[in-house]
Amino acid sequence: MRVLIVEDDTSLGPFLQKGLKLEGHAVTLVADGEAALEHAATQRPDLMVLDLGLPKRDGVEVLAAMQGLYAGMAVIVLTGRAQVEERVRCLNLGADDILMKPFSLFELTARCRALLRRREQYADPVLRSGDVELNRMERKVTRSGQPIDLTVKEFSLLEYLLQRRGRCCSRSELLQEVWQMSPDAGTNVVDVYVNYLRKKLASVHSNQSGPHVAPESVIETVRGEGYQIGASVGGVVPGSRKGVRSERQVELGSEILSSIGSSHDGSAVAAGGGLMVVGRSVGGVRARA
Amino acid sequence: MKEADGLSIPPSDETVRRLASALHDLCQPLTALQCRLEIGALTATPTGYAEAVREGLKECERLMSRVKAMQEMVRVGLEGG
Repeated sequence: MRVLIVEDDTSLGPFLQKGLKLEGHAVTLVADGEAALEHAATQRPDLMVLDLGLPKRDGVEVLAAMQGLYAGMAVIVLTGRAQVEERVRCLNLGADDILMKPFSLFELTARCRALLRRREQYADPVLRSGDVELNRMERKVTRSGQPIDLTVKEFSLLEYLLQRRGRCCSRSELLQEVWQMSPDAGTNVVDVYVNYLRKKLASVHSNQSGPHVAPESVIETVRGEGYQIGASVGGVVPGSRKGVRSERQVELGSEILSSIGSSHDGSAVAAGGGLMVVGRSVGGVRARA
Repeated sequence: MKEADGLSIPPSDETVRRLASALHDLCQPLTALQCRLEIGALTATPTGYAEAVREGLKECERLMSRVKAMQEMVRVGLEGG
């Protein structure tokens, strides 16, 4: 999970960051209320651990500014103040839990886990973008109602992109969050798997007659950045040559990848291994010498 | 407020306010110390333990300075009262 810690204490902040990283979360630390709001707006973390006594804008102001904006984000408030009124105010402003200082790191991590569990339990299990649906409970993916068989890693990648619909996910972020690899790992496994997904998503439409959704409208390449889903949902190309050509290009790209020996777990495709995903105008891949 | 020596000191609003502020100041280094030692225990390596002790001692210094400030507050309060 992506966690944002907002704590201005120069000792406690890094300790909390280290502790939550040991739990396997991707953790960002900021030290004031304005930075917290900016990060929440741009990165949409799953969980915010928010201290109340902050410079620039205090924790209560941050909660008030975020009220009703980020339904998918859980908030745990940390406070060293004992007043009941303050805790009630925080809960009324949208905090999910409050932890009084001093506390144990083990209690904080346990509360984080409990919160995230509850969020997942009540969240809509179906993620959608256009005619693509992913059911997290049943572990099924369909496009226009047609089932698509995905591997575990393909499913995780699609799930991650759909959860962040409309936002570009960098290759390093995907490496870190989906593969739990270092963002600096020298591999193009992300590009390879995006291509596998594109091919499978496109295959449903290539088997049907009638309107086509261009495959690049499901997973788009953001040149020099990464990939995103949902920026141009609804881009129906009614049976046009362009749409058909794009799908074929995706398939051809996959065939090129397969023919030069990339294994499906991606481990055999090393950095500089001669593959490069090109922009959405092509929607596929090409081999590089 | 009942003291250990049996003297009864009626708490004023100002005393409670200052006590709350002092407790708040204590919470920060105490939480940092607790979390730092727990991280050391989690990593469970000689290097991890050594770092935890070194950084934990820094938090102890912060704690001691806060406690000394509280002792001074009490001394001034008792002498003034």
